[in-house]
Amino acid sequence: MIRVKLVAPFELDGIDSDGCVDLPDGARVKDLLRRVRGFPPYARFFPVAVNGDQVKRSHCLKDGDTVVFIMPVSGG
Amino acid sequence: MNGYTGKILLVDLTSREWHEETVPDEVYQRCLSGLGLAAHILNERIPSGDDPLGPQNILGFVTGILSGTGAMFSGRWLAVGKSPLTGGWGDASCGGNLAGGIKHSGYDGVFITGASQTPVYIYADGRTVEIHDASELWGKDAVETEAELVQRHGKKACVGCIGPAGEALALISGIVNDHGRLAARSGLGAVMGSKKLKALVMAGSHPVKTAKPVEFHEIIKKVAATVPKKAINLPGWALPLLVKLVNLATGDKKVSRLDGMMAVGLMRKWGTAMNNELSVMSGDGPVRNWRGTPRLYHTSHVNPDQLNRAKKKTYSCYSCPLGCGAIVELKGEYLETHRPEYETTAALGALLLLQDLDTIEYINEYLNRAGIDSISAGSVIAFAMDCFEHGLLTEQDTGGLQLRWGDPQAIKRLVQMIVNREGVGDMLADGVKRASQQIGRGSEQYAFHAGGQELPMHDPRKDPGYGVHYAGDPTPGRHTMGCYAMYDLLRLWTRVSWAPEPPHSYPDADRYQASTENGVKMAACGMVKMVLDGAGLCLFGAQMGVDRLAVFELLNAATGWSLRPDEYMEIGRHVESLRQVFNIRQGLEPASVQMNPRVHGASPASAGPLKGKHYALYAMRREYWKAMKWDPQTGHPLEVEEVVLK
Repeated sequence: MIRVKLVAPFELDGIDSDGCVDLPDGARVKDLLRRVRGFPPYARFFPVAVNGDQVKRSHCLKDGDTVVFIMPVSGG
Repeated sequence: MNGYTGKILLVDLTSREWHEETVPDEVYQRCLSGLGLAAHILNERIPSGDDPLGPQNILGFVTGILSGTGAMFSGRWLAVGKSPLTGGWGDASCGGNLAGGIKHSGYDGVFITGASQTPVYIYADGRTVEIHDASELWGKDAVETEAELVQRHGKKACVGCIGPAGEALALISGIVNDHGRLAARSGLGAVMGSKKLKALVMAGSHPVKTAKPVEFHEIIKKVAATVPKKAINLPGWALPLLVKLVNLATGDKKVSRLDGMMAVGLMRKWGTAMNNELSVMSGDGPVRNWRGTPRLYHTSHVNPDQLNRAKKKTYSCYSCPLGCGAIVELKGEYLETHRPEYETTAALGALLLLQDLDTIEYINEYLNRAGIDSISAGSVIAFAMDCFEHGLLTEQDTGGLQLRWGDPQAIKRLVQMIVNREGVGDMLADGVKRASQQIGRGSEQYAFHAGGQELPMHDPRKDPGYGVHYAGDPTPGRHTMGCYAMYDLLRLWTRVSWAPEPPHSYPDADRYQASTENGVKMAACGMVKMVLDGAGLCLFGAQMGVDRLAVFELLNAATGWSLRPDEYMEIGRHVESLRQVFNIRQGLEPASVQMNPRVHGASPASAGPLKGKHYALYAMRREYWKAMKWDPQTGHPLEVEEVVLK
């Protein structure tokens, strides 16, 4: 079992108060999208970064990874 | 040394004397360094009712506790003084290299009083302080001035200087560092010009030590691990699409809590230009002098990829791992300029309906060299265009210039007239408030400012938290003080016991309520901004979250203190109160700061993304002041006032 941190602009079920989710060993980004409830269908179009590096959906996750769904924020 | 040096340099330009002063530890424990140190010094030493352009005003250049320590995002320096625009507290923050220059010269700040009869510049390196003649530099633009001074004093020389606008006492002028970057707001370029001070040159190389160096570097390593090392590979046109998709998921009536980590890689690629299109489309960016809708402005010309089309290189401020700045090539009079920031592109673009990016980039460079605040320049031109359209200014007033929306040649010419104080430009160089007072005849309905400071390019009808700070903070009209989106990004609830955690999505309508919780959130933004400015940290770094940037942990390791985040927030509150007391002592009543009713939706927009949006600005300001422990009706922080006025 691995534990990854998830940062996303969606309201998701099944992540704990630290924003983390448990996944089986060898899970990929696309598995995350399937297992966590609340991802809208078009979440698959969002670019994803793991530990700051942009990755594909087939990227294999490791324990302690931070998965971020990319989204611009306002500021100036 | 505990991060701070405990020493400031004071220079009197009237007598041409200088001395160093030791600042007691208690001052740092009560106010931190940077803005807090400045609030302490200026409250003590600027007489009540003093003329901001008179010799008794003090112009300060200050750094934070973390400046020079190697902490990431610690490259900010601030100019401070009494603002000639508002008549109250003035400050302006800038990146570049001057923070390191000041700190490595052995000072937490340099404070200048008096006025010279002839142009001078100050050179200091920690061993000597010299006041030099600057007659040959007077009249040169800021980029030329800096280049000349670096040639004279060597590569270590870090320069803060004014351009021709500051020399001409334009009240919308700022102070320039690092080849055209501005501490733009509050009109402090005019204060520097009034002292006939062309430049401050700091060239020291003292190391800056921390109280717990091993712990300090361990924290820095952890922070470094959280900062993405690469830009995100995404086309610029996709950004608005992503936002639309999220809006589809949450619905128009809900807001998703934002997290700064989502955008760090985007900042690395585009800097603040990331927001150019999005802001206009969402209603955040004002269009046609705050009176238009996004339909009037085609944003494809200012798409972030367009801003990068002639990018030569990216650059970072001193001690920054992100590098959100870039240099772009120009054709014509100038060879290059800084990639225009969002505020600049919005103020010269959508606000004026100017579509031509080449012209925006040219004016960006022209204003940087002249030393003028691009937000204020765009605002005052938009005001003039509205006045021209409504017959309040005529061709006779403008010297034959037809001020038509979006006309690149007319806008270029008017910018030159402002910098040269030529014709109608003379009036406009002092900002929209004074221009509307001079024109009269109802022109104030086209003037968008808070207490004399032109409004930034974020419409509070989209995020009313901006409005609360524009009208309620001791520096009116300042977008970096806080809003609800910023509260989400700062993640204060991870460290501060009383800071409420927003849900992952919440009703948009909640942001428009004059509630106790909203007041607390805005007060929290103000307090932590004072901590960041006391530390010398960049707001963009902090928008990754105070926990991930380890703001409070770094401060403790640098100083050797063991303060809890709640205690740092109380220091932030104290500094906010000191700045508010400064205003009151100078005769600027907080409750007298009003804004154009359109900005709070008194006559709501009938179309566009802000259709029907309004909020009870002054009721929300009262909640903010109450949360600051200030009198909700008057904005007076009575407790601090008693202490300071004793």
